[in-house]
Amino acid sequence: MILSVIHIFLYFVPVLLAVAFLTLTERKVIGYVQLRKGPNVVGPYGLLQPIADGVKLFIKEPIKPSSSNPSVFFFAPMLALILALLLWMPVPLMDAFIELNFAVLFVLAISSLSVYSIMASGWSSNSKYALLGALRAVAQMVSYEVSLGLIILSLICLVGGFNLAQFFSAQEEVMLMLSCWPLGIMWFISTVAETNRSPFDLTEGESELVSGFNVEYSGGPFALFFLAEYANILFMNVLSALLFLAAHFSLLGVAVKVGLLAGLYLWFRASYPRFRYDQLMHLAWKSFLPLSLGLLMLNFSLPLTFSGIGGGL
Amino acid sequence: MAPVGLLASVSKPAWRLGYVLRPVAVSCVRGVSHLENVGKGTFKLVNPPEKEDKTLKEITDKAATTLFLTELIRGLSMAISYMFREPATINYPFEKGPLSPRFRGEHALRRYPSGEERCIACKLCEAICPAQAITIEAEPRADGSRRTTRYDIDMTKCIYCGFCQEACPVDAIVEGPNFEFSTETHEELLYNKEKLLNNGDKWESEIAANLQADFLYR
Amino acid sequence: MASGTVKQDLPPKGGYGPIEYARRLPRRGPSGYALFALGIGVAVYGYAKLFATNRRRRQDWAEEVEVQVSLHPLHKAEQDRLILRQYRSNLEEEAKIMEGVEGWVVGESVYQSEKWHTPHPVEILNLRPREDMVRKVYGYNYDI
Repeated sequence: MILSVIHIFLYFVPVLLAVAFLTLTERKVIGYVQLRKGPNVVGPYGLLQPIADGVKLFIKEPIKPSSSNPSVFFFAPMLALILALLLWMPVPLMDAFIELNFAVLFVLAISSLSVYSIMASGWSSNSKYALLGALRAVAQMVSYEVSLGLIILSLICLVGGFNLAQFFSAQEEVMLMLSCWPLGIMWFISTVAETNRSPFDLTEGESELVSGFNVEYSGGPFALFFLAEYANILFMNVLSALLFLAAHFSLLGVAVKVGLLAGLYLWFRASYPRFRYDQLMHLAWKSFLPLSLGLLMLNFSLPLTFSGIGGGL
Repeated sequence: MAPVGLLASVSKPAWRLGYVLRPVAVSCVRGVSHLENVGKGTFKLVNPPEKEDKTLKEITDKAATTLFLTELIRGLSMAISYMFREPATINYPFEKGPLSPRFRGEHALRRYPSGEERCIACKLCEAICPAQAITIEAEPRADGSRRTTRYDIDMTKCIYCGFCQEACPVDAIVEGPNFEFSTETHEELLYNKEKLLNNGDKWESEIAANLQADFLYR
Repeated sequence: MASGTVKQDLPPKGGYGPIEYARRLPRRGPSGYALFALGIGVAVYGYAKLFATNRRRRQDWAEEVEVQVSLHPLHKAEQDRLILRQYRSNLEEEAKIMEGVEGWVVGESVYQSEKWHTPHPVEILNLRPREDMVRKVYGYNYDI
């Protein structure tokens, strides 16, 4: 029993640590791109900054707006973090925490559920900014889930299974990014949009919405949202690495790929201006949806034609 | 429109409002029905309109630009090139930027080299202060000279315009080069005469050097 | 300052040029044809390799299934032997326990039919230490 508790912690603590240092990396990278230095005071080169931030956030008072719905208000951030950590369960790094045959579907289902935490937070805050931010976030995530789902469906046709471990064996010779690079590009952009990251961070829109669905949150609950957001980002990168770049399984290799993809997220944020909302929706429904549908047909028929249907272990 | 349509449609109407700069003033002057005049020389195209008859090569180039994100990648490379340039930041508490001799920081009351305070309580500074941050009370001293008994500056009212030091006929009240005097309470920023004289003693060398450097222009 | 030499900022002779408001991005890099050729080439190579991998994976899977099928009787026999041994020791234990009970038939079937029913693990391991039974029922899940 003790072992099982330790096992859970061995799974989640590294994720949360990685999240903490991702925030530091983000601030550093964006700082240097903007000819600044980023945090460099707490600890050597500012390495302890995320810990200081975490301590600060958790000892601050979690303020509750008097007009909010308290139970939902405090339930939403917990739900967000729980779902973000739950997503990591079926990831087959060495061994999966839970071995799921339908891991891909599990991931899609849980990431769809995280919409509810955002909606609950925006709604229960009883603030128009939070509500508008939540509406935007929900619409955006739902739209991009469509393209994510279709892209995954294409890959499933090629790999012949829903188990994430099967993606490794299918990509032993050559990674799926080579054969499906249009899907890969669309997938990566969709993950950026799905995690509400810049240049798709309409939900934050600090010029018009202050900070989006989490305006009213402070202290611990805000920290939970923050952790959930970055855990989602890292998880999406892990998923991209597994789905498209998983040649030759090695833990270090996956880690390097995930790091590079996360770096690309930060690089995007430093480079691109924010999309307009209609552009965002056009991208999802008018560009990605038809393209991924067409490529789904291609990826469904090609293995049949050339007797390359996947399957097995 | 680099990031606008990542894989967006190849053909687009040239006459879209998003691509035009419309001088708002013109349309407002025309009054109510200014919308009717859109398209009658009231705007200029920011992007040249797309050609009607494109060759296959042009179409392919355009499609490659959107599908392979070449413009976006160029933007990325531009951003990353900035990452390897020297940051403009200085490590502030440890390194400080240069200050002009005219810098208007924390106030100080100066003394003559003999140790006698300069201020003669003429109250010009009090009169000119646009924020009314200065309060002065004065009495003749035992030796007949006129001196202040009270010289207060509310630093939270002060707007650091420098009128007080310009008004001062004897260079008594000056704004020194110190700008690091933040406090934890409001009361600490209500400076009295003692505090201001202490400031003067503390910063005298810098203040004198600044006045010396700038006296031609006063 | 000497008077009469005041120099005022004026526009250059002939005025300023027109303001460049239009987008001007010179084309760089390989042409569209080259990019498409590269992309399609990479995709074709990737698909060929992927399908080869898939064929090999299916072969491996078929082999695996064959191995399992051929090993199944052996597995089954070994399993049955273990069950029967445990069953017999259970009967012995039962006989020892129920020695003084009148009318107790050792090893009496709980079923009406004469058919052999493979006993449930709980039934088999009922008289074993609880640890063994839990381990058998919950398998590896118990350890983690």
